[in-house]
Amino acid sequence: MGKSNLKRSWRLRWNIFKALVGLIIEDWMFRTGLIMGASKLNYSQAAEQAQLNGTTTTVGNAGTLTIFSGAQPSSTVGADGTVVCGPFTLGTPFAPGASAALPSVLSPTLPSNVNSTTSVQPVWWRVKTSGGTAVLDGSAATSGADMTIGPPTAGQPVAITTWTITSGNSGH
Amino acid sequence: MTIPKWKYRKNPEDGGFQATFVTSAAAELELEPDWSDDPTSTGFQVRPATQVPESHVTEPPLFVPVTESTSKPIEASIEITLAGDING
Repeated sequence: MGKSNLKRSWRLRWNIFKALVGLIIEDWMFRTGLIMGASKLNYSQAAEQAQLNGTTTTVGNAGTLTIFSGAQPSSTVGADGTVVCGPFTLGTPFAPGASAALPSVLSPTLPSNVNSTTSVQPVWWRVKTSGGTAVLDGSAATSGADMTIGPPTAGQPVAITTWTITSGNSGH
Repeated sequence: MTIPKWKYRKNPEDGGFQATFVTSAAAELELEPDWSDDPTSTGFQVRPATQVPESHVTEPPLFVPVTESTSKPIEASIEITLAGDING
């Protein structure tokens, strides 16, 4: 074996050694949690549709929607705020079936107008079952919130004009 | 309900809210049967009028539909995108 071939052989062995050590270290870091993998969940169209229809089932018939001022609690277990408007009586059922699409869309039946009780800017809203169990709540503001609404006038009606709940996007 | 009183109906011609003031039992009998003492039976959401017509200031309260308010209903829309189920 010539000198140059001998050098090449040692370089090859060194590279293989480095690659193996790299793989072992990477595997060890994954196992110990030192490398955090990004979540890349994908749900099927049927799974997303079922998730939205599950919301309809959970809210049930004649649920309620109430709009509040004050800070929104960190979960649906938290106490209600100060009522700005409501409760609106929701549909029976809460919504027709979610769309068979990706993303799937749920369009709850729009409630009748309800008069506002105060003239302050709403901050959040909550949907409950007819029995008063909170199911979901969200933010309310003039823009950039789950509910787009400006300050109402006490005694004047508030109309829910559109309502859509959309599943996440598909694919990563 | 004692007379005089207001009677209400949904106008069969234009679908609007209609109110009339009756001052005698005879006048009430002349009304068509769709007139009601209950303003909510019209299907309209109602509130007491803030100003009763001048000729009836001493009479029972008149109800008017909230849609007759000078203010339009404030509109709200809800759009929720469920987070956390998919990562793009």
